[in-house]
Amino acid sequence: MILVSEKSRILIQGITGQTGRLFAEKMVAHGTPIVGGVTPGKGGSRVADVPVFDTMREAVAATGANAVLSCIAPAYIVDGLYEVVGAGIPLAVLYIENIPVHDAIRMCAYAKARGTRILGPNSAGAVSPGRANLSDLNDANLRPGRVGIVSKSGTLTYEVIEELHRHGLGESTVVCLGGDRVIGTDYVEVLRLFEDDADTDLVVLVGEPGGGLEYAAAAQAGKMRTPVIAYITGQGSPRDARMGHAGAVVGDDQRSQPQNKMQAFSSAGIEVAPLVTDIGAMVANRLHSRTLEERRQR
Amino acid sequence: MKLLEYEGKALLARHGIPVAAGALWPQVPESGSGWMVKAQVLAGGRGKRGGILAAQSRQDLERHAGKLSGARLGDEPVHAVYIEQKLEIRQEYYLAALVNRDLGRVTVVASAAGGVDIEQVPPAQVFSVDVDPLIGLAEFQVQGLKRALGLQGDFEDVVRGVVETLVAEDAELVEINPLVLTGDGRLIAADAKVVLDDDAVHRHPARSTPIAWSTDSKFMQRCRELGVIGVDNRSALPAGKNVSLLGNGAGLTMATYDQIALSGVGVAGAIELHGALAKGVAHTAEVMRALFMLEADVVFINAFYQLRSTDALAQALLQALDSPGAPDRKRVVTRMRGVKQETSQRMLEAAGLFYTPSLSAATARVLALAK
Repeated sequence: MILVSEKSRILIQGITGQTGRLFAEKMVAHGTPIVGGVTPGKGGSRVADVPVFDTMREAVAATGANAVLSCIAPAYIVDGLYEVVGAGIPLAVLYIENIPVHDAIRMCAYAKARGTRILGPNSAGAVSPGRANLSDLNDANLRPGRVGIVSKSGTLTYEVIEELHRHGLGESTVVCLGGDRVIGTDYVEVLRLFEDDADTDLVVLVGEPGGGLEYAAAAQAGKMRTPVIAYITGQGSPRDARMGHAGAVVGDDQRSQPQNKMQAFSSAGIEVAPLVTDIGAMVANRLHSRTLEERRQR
Repeated sequence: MKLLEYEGKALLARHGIPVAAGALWPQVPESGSGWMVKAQVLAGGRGKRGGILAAQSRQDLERHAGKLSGARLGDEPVHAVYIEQKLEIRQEYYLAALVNRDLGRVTVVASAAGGVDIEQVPPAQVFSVDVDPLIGLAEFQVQGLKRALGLQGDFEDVVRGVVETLVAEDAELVEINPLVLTGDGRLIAADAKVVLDDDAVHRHPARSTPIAWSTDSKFMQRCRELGVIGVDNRSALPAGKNVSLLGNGAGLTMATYDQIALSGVGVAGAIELHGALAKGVAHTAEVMRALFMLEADVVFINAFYQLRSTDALAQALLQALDSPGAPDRKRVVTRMRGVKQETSQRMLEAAGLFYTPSLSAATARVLALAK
């Protein structure tokens, strides 16, 4: 597994708010290693039976936290992220969306310079089923397994997981990068982590219209030992339609077109699923033929 | 949100970039050198389509402005006519600052081959620098661009002004093409293409609603009122039956769109709920009624929630189906996943609707109905 595990020590930023509280309760109920939360002015109280601190620094000093799920309002997110980085926390999930793009640029640059990895903005988070859930996915809908998933989208990732389950497969780690235009972590970084992960046999990569992060991902996937299967959504979307992800507009730019991204994966020798409902069977086939290959070699 | 030229130029001027004296027709700026009469449209290439006309006399000016007022340029109505002082052009440059999504940085692009579509300019003649957000545009980068363009004079202020406009005004793109070097050696922005960040509009309360909205369909307007994302594809439908669809989340909605559109069946349009379900049953029923405005032959509801029940969504759909003008229930396909989805299933099936928990099965049903 990558990024999150039973060794994670998770804080929720904004734990006393409605969203933060729900996440805290869910984490505690399903055995995710949450160690506390932060809300300025609410230090000393408890939510879902974990301690609340006034500042990130206090929380880290008291709990040894190494990951944060940020659930604070857009107006406070930039300052909140600076506080997370200042406290030296290596992983932050920014769940919230519609952050102005220049704020995202500043936040991502600062975090990168100071050694904090951001997932998001507009990320559904990361989860290693049965170990730690730093995401908005329902633990009941997850199954531990050996397929990694990296995707920008949340809801489409639910569908990919469903596809794996239909074919009796499960997930090692699911990573949602976020649907905004500028995001803190790209496909390549996550693919490299999966490549070095002993618990992952195959990676499903989900791309979408907009930007061009998928091209570097295709090049990386092409040189990996771990097989990758790609799916690019938005092939049928009308140009210029913003379907809810700030980042996903097909537009006039050739690079942003799903068909060209699919072509890049094909050219790199990566299998491309035509539809989301084709993914499960393709993954199952690929893993099956790999197993046969390994038996032959033995 | 794309701005018209005159709106973009007002932002440039605010950040110290020289623009020609100009006014919206029927106002006319002072000029001793004639005027340019410019149709204000969002689409590019307006010069080639007769949207920019030179006028030497007041009489010419009135004739041109009268012709462009209320006319159309391609698919787009002319939103306004802008009159500018005519410039004496020695050379045309290209200068832009934009959000480079892949780098997560601002990139400045410049060329001495301005006045044409920048994509037509050979790459060797296009120069760019990436701005580190932690230090801003560095002096050596400014000087490097200036040397590359072979420019003298006050280029520094202009390039700094363009980056400042992009960041301070929360824009995704600020493009000046051409940036004109005049006979008397001044640099002036002769055109402006500015695209603002939709997610930062709240920081600039003085901004009016986007001009692009004025040509939107009633369906799109209704979606905006309801806070959901609408896609209206009715103008590009193939022959035969068509489908309207509703999903939650951008990724799932796009994937659902693919399931139908790639099978050769037309999609009239789509709605991405964008969190509307949290606003309650009555609100969500309004969203369903908006979907029915597309008058598609088949309606496809595909929702996948992790921590939420879909009961409110099912109730909203049933409420909307009781309204006048609602589609026949036999033409509605529902696929809902969520906490305790069985109660939604019972509710929908009892009302005579097709329900399945599987996207494959739902797709097959939709395609069969659309045959």
